[in-house]
Amino acid sequence: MMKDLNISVKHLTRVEGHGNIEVDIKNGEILKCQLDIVEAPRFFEAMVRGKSYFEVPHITSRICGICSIGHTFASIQAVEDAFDFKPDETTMLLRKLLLHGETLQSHTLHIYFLAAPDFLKAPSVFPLLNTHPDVVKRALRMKWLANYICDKIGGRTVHPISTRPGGFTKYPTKESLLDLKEKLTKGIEDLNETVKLFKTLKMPEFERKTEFISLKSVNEYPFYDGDLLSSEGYSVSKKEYRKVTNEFIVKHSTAKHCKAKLDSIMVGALARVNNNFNLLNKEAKAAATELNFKPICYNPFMNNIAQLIEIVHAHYDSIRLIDLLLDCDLSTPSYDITPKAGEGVGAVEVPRGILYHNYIFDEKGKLVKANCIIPTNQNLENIDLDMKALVPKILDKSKEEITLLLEMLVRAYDPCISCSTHLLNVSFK
Amino acid sequence: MTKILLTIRTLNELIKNWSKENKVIAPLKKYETIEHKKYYFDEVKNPEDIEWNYITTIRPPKEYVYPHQQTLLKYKENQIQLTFDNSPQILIGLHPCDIHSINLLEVSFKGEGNIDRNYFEKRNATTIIGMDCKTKCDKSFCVSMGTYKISEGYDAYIRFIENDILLIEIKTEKGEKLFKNAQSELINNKIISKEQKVIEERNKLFTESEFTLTKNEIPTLLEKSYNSLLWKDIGQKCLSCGSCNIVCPTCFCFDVRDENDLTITSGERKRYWDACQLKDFTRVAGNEVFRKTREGRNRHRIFRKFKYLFDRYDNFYCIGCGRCNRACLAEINIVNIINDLYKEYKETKTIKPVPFVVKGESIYEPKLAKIVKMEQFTEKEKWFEFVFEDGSDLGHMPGQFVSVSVFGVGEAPISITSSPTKKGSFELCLRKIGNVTEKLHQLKVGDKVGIRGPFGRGFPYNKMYHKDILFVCGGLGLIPARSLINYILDNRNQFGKMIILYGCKTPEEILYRNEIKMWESRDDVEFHITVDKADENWKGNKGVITTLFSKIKINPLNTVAVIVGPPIMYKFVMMELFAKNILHDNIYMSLERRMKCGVGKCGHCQINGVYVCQEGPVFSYSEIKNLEEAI
Amino acid sequence: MSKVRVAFFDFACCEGCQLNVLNCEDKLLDILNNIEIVNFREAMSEASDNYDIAFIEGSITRECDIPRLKKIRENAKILITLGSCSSIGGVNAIKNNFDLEDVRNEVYGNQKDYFETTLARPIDAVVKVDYKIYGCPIHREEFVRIITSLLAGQQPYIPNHPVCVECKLKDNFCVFDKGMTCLGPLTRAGCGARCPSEGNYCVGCRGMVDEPEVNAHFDILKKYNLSIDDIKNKFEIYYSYYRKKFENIYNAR
Repeated sequence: MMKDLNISVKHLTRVEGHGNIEVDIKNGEILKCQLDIVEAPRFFEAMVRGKSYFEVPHITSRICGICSIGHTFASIQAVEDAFDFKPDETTMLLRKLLLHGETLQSHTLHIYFLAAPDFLKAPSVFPLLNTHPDVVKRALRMKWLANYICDKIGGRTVHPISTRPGGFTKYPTKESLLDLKEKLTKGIEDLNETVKLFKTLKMPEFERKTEFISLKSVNEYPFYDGDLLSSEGYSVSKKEYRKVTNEFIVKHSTAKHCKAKLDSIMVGALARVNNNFNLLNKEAKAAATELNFKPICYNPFMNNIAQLIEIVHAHYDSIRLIDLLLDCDLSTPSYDITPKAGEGVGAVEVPRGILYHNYIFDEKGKLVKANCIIPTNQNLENIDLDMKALVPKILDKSKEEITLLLEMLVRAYDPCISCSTHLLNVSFK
Repeated sequence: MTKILLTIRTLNELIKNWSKENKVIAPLKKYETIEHKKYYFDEVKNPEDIEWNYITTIRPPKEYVYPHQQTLLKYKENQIQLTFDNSPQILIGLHPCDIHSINLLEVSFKGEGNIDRNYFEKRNATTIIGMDCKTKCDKSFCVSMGTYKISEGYDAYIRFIENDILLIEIKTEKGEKLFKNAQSELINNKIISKEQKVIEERNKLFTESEFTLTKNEIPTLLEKSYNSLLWKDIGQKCLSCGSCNIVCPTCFCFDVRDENDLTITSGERKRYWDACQLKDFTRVAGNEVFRKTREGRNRHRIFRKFKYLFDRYDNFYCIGCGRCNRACLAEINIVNIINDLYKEYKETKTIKPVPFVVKGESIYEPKLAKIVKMEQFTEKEKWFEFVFEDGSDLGHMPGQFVSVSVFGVGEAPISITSSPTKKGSFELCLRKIGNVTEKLHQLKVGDKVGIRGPFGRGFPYNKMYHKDILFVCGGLGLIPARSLINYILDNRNQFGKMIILYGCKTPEEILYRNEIKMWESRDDVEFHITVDKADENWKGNKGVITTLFSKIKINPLNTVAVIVGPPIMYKFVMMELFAKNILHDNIYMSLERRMKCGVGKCGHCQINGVYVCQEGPVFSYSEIKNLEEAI
Repeated sequence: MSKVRVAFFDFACCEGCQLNVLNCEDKLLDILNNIEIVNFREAMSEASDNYDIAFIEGSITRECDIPRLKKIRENAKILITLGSCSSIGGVNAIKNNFDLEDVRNEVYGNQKDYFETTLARPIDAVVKVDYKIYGCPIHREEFVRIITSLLAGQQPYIPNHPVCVECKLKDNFCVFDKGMTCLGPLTRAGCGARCPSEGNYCVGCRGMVDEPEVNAHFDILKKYNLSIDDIKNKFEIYYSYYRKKFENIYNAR
């Protein structure tokens, strides 16, 4: 069927940041099919030059409100890597727990507030208050609990306070950890209900082979650190992150695109669950079975389901981490760290994929050069290629249906456009 | 009053029981970092957590009787419900100073009849158990304030006799109720003497007064210090951060705001602690701020604590705990403020008269002197040279005066115009203006008069060595000034530059014409003269004396100014001197007053508290700037 | 009573403040009883230009943003800034301290011409702002308090005193006494002294009070052996847009 089609979605909604979807088809031939990034650039890499290592994580946290904890940790990890500092066990446990708080918060927000309205045929979560009040209230409870973790461990839900290079400025009390554990245990019911709900939602069918990149670990499902693993069967150290994030520039986007071995890469929940399925805890594996998820899955719409599987994993893992923390000495925090000249890389799995921060410091701990690579950038080429593959298959549908499906596809990636527009072209020599 | 003896274990058991029906609040400890532990008051979950050896907390226990946020009433549209918090609570372990502060809050919330029920409902539901502190806190001043001990305001009081044995004094019914089931150990003489020893040992920590004056002198001191320049220095350091107010146990100012809940139509009217050091404390709806400067706000805080509320309630609103001093980043410190003000005040006050002891039978006995030379200077002024019959010197300082008697007519104070360097005789120059001077003008060489004196403080030339001297003389003012001018000319190398400004009403009134010619001709004297009015024959400057200031250049740090003239002249000359930044200590002036006795008895010459005949007539400006009657 | 129509917009920012609005989970449903959200791109697809209150997050960093902002101002009865970027320029204004050409070059290299940028400005540098909700990010409780005040027709209470007041109320050790330095004495309160209470120091995210005592604060920083460069670096994180308020003082010292 020969068809003309012109779709232009300005300021795509229910995503973080500003992006436009542009599709132009003449006689069935795709002239244009892409996601334009139109967010105002903010220049963080330039702004942190000359700032002290202590202040850099504070500033780079402001790249993105949704993944502020992830940015803080990628930044702190890069600082500690540059100074050859190894944080103690309490610090690591707390960081992992806090990162779970963010993953839970972001994934819950995404599947319930941003993605679910599409499946429940609503323009946003607000009308669902009338049609599906239980769903909305459950979503709010789950998000509240996730934020509560961030509040108690990080001091605040957005832009954490107590995190710093070397450790924490304040430890939570054992009472608050016990209280947190109790709330998490109670929250399991909402978790089960969520799995039940999403089991009933039908994800569009579509597959395109791509390369999944995630962190790698041997003994736990990796979020906080590790080397880099490709679904194409190779791995590299985090210092060599450029090998899996080859950046290139495309005209239509203020953000750079990335690829590794294949034409494009995908990072995020789907990539992680695909690459590290065996390391999920048993509850998450059970949820995967129930949700009919089998690795390796090449359907990008299933990213929503992968996020839910991760919610289950992070929820139970948080309880496990709290139990370990209760055995630690939490009386006074310590954070001795000595700056020195050097380069460091931080690689953290944030909700949307691997976030890289790479810094060079002088001997006083002042930043000389910074480079950040954001998950959404890494996914942009994959989104474009997915759209190009999807459009020909659905050309027989109405323009509205096509637009909705394209919007759903982009939303499935949960793109964080604020993050991605820091863009850079830094050469380290 | 009864006493019981308990072990700490028994007390902890009691506290556990109390917690069932009361909120129990006590000092606790927390480490912020390994080196930084802090003490604070909070609800006790486990009595074993109580820090009996705590040092005074950052914030006082005031929060528990007067919370920083307290609901006054609830509203729903126009329906009002008064709200009081009277849930029972027990404050344990309050130090004496903090109990004093709660006593003070009671005084002010009782006020002059307007009783604050919101405060008292909560206060009356509170039981207070005090205890001794064991160290004297840094920057505290409880010795001067007398607040390290307490005799009322608590229901029971704990004193540790040994590490885990404590003697409890039960003071009130509320206290009795708490301890009625407690099983006391035996209190024998050994225990009583042990307690005495503990008290005595502790008292040894509190012996050195922090203030250099007693607290009762402070209100008067402040009254005199309102315009002190010290406030300016303090103001410049101040961050206006309000920390001193927030940590103060006696500050009780508050703001009131309505807080709506999410129904929008209902909410609570709450009061919040406010702080007078914040600029917005006095801001009104039109945006006007009534206490704009940090200087004024700092002064207000000190005045309120030590004067305004003292005048109102007869109590100092300060317990000397030193919390504000410790909390201030700019190191503004009440002890320093009070002591510095006192030092400044004493310096202003300390005008030590050189007591002149009249030789002879009586301070009122004149000594006979003979006129040896006379000269009519102008129509009204005449110059005299005297010698004493016994040939002695007068022994005076420049600027001093004598009382001259013409028997049968009377006695009059007259400035000495000759320099002490002139030996064997002394000189006076006087205007024909009253009874005595009228008569003196009629005397001839060889006639005798009675002389008493010299009296009063002269110009302190010993403080002027190696300095530049600026004379500002108006009319007759040249007469006493000449005494110092001649002294300096006779010791010329001991002084710096000398500038003389002289002003008269008309050219006819100019005194010492010959000497002036001599001064004008000297290289080491700069002399300027002006007259207010003159005909065309006058070739010199015309205008008031202050017009001469534009002709001179001075080094403000090394110049001493000597001002003598009619009262009207002083204010205008002072303005010129301030504009040239001459130090207040280096400005000397001779003041004229009515005098009869010359020895601080008759009372006529008094300026506020000062006798001009005895402490004057010469004063430095810093000595009289706070005397309202002086100039 | 018809519900008050509320819209949310953003310019250059991290969207953390809007996220914090969504994070008022326990209050969200009560708030929605009184207001109708008609525009909130981060969370909904519907959009309307008919609204009473506009909340704006983010700084103005491009000329092309200005017409959009002016349009919002025309439509809104009350315009309120949300967070540091829109209220005081926030971290975006750090770049104002550098040469803008150099900034573009550092980040975008030879692609820099694609990326327009001007000095980062708070919203009130372009249009009239009725109220500012400070903080990076905004404080949920404060947002709820201010929105209730507005709905009740009350002037919202926005503190104009330093963070020290609230820090002392929290029984905190003074940050300076712990050997760190702090911008609390200059920074507008309202956050409940969150950062010092979490063992950190105040970075000044709510901007300076109306009349900050920079001179007196400078004396204290000097006492703690901070170099002028260190002090400037600290100040530049959030105070950059208002650098004139402190720059002259520093240059004079």
